Amino acid sequence: GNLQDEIDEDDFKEEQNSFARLIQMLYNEDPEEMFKIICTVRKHILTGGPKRLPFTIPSLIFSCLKLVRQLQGQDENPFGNETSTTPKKIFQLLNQTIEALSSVPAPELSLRLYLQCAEAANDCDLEPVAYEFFTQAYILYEEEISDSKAQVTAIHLIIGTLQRMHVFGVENRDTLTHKATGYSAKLLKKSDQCRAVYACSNLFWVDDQENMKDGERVLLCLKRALRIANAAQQMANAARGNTGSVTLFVEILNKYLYFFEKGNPQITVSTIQGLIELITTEMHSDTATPDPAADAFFASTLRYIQFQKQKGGAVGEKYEPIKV
Amino acid sequence: MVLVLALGDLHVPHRAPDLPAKFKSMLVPGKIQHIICTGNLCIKEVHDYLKTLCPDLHITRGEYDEETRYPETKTLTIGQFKLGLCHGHQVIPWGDLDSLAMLQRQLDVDILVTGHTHQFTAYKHEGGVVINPGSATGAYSSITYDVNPSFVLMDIDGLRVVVYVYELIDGEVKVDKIDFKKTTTASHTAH
Repeated sequence: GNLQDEIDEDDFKEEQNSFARLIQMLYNEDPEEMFKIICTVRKHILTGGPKRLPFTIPSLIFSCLKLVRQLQGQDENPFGNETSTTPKKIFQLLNQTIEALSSVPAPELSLRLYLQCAEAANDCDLEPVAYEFFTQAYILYEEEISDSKAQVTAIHLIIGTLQRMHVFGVENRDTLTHKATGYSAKLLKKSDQCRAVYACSNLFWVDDQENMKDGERVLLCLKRALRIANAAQQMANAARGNTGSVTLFVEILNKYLYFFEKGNPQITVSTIQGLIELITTEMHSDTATPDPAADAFFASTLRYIQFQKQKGGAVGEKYEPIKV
Repeated sequence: MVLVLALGDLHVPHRAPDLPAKFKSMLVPGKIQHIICTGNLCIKEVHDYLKTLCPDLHITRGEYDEETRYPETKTLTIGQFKLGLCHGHQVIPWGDLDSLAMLQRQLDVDILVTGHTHQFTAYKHEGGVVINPGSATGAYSSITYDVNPSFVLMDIDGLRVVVYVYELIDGEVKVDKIDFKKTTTASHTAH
């Protein structure tokens, strides 16, 4: 009956998880030997069928990624023999292995693993490989992930990973950031749209990279997020006759402050001042919904501005003209 | 005096077979009043194990957790302190302190605990403390190289919290200590 089925199901899971743990214990310090072990395990688990792969493949993927990192520092030996293990070779194996998982289908897990591989390829300075992994992740996002909550998490993982990539040339990077912004603005709920779009602003301004400080595109992103926050308010108004929460506006204000501090010349005192006033007005309007959490968030943000003003030095000077 | 265990990013079984034995022998039932876990356990066995250490268990969802019931963020009050919990993959750039401080203002908490980077950090600023307990299994991370297994114990006493970080370095457990006193200016709006 059903109880027996459940027990069987639990037993099956436990068994698969034990096997995944076992894979994690396999280790040989010689890369060639380790690669052989990986190939043997891979051969075995690929015969496991769609029910087992989601348990076994992730473990194998991370064993591969650990090996890639071990090899990462070493230059390729031009006189080495053809068959020696290289990151490139392992990346091919990774690509094929995740492909097997994605045809289970297991789109959410596969997307996460593709992104992990993309970062590893980034660290190995292999642009085409990294781009290929991103492409695969994007295809899964577009074609296989339709649940809204799953989309929200996936888009944050995409943006978070992309933000860390330094291997891409201008064109590849532009293509990928443009798509990510597009996905963000296409999420179902306006609040999710807004948050993902302002997260994208970090794709155009990377602290430790001088050639990635595009203040204008940061501002465009934040303005777009503001427009969406406005639309969200209109919808709340339409549905419930109140203006909804100001939380999104306070979040965007914090983002403005973030880039203001980083020295983005496009973010001016007057924009910040305007946003503070907008929020204050909204909160005191007749149709405002009482939202203690948003009030506390705003109060806390104003306290932060106050604190920065009192700091003195360059920061204090920057914040000096802002009135709270 | 209240003891709070903070840990996360175990990634069992995908990236690590289990918690280090030396950690397991230290973590015994009955000593800890609360556990806060940033997520990525990833399997039920780990959840059940933590429950045996202390029944008061708070977990947020990591991107590899199957369990859909874990929330994205959580806040709780322990003694005089308001704590916030979040895995951290939602905060971009990952591990960025200014962005975490923004989340701290949003959750309106004294202590924010997040994970995701597998890198232990404890950062004091005017708004409170931001803590990352690292990865309890020393799991592989795309963000941090050479991850040492680590977890955090917080000793909360009145307006004072002592943060102990336990790290496994070359087979030995090392302990470090950070002190934090809550000032009255960092008080929060009553909800």
